[in-house]
Amino acid sequence: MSQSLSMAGNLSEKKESTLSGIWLFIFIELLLFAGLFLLYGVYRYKNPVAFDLAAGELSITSGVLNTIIILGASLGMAYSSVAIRKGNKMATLFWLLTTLFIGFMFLVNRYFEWKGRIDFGFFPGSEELARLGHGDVLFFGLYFFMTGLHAIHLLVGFIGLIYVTSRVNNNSLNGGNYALLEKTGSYWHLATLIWVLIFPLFYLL
Amino acid sequence: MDKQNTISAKSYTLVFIGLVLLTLISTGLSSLNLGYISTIIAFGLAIVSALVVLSKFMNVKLDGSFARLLLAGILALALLIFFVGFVG
Repeated sequence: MSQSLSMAGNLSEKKESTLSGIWLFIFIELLLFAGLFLLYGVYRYKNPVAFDLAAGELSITSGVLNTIIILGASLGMAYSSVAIRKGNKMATLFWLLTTLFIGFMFLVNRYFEWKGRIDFGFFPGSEELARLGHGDVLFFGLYFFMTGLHAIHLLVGFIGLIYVTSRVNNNSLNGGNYALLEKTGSYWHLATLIWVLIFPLFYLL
Repeated sequence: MDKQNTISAKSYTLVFIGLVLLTLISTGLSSLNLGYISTIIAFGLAIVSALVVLSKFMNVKLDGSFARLLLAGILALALLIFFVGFVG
């Protein structure tokens, strides 16, 4: 009994240590966004009415659409890791490219959402915002900063995915050696995780 | 190597459908204007979705040391928000 327990302990330790680098990075990323969530919480507490009204300027439909899109991108990434474990190169490439395309659609939607706000004059430093007051300046400042930082994470994920796709294409990543794809996938899912937490802050509350 | 760890494509599809449903439910509930309860609901469902992404897509075991660290972080953040909201 004690032997089987210690064996299980050793197994899980080994598995964790092989992934610890990327997990440390992911944890630091989450801390970065946690700081921003805290900032949002403080500012919202100080300016409840302005935040309520400013959030009404954002389209819930667009936010929900983007959430479903990015969940779809994570699904594509998960399918590609299933495919590479089975050693199916064509399916892996197909799902990686699909993931890239779905991720691109997220950014297209983000572009139109930002363009709509900017056309209304709601962007950091605009006269329209200065006229509305301090709370709106804070809300839209946080909105552009947090969604922008998230979009930058997606762009970094794009670079990672394009590199992984080329490695799968020249057979240096395959059914026996797919750790890089799994790690890139973890980073990609991290972008989904962060979006799932950002979404209610700006669209639902 | 980690065959016991693999999840099939079908279960990933189910996870995806579940996450979409969670998003739609929290959106629907947020339109009801329940006051501060709707804040708790929106956040609660977001944290549930985030934990599903962590445990299913990212394959983090929610009883490992990473998860304990994460839980400590979330509790610390919740405590800070509580102090800002009710004491601040």
